[in-house]
Amino acid sequence: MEEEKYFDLFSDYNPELSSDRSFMAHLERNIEAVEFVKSQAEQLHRKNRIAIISAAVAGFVFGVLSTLCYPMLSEFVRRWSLSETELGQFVADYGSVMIWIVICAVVITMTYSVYDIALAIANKSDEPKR
Amino acid sequence: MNRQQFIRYVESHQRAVRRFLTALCCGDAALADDLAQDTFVKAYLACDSFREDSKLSTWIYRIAYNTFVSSRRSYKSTEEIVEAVGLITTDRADKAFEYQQLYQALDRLSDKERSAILLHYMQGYAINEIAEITDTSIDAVKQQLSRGRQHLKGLLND
Repeated sequence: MEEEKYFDLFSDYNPELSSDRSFMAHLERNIEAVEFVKSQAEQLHRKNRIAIISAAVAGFVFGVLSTLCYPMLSEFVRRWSLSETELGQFVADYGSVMIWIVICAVVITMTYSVYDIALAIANKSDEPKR
Repeated sequence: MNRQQFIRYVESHQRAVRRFLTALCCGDAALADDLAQDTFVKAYLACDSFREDSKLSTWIYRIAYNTFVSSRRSYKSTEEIVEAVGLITTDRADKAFEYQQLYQALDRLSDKERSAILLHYMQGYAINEIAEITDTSIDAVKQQLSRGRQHLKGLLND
């Protein structure tokens, strides 16, 4: 077949399609759904960002406060280590390590709690008022 | 491009895209419509990333082609054209029968040959534009067109 005949083959091709109106209506519904999901995702992202920033600030503040308490804790542990018992010996050897473990545990717990509370407050503020 | 502009563009071009996809799907108009919906939704989501250095229609057809290829990978089973005609209602039977020979001929081509043939002879795209749409080289498109023509010539002359 010559080149022109291939063009002619499709020039009259006019398949029966569903109505344009129903196609466009369906498309607009799909686009609405997509925009709804996008806005929900953006909201979630915004809430998470607020919660993470709050948790980071809280973590920093608690970290600083806990570190400032280190001398006091260290003195407390030192008094414990003065006893001649096995426990006293253990505290003398590992006292500073234990203090830092406690500080880390407190800071992590408080940071996570602040993250949770911030997220809960953000979710509650988005709920429709009754 | 905002939503209203996008909808206006789609209103004027959706028929051509659906016609192309219907031929690409060898007459399965329902599948073609689903692919067209996916195409335009993807285009809407990505319209902010559309670069002005290519035509909007070329970009849309590229999305349509990629959507078709993805669907072929997902759905490996295909029905015979003869069986598909039996599923069509009597109102559309004549119309479907009119193109049955064409659909059967197109169905025997590979996806790439069929795409190249339809983009060139039905949609009127040049070879370099088809290469951009299908993300292949110009030589590859020429080869696909040549093979497609050979197959169609043999099948439609039978």
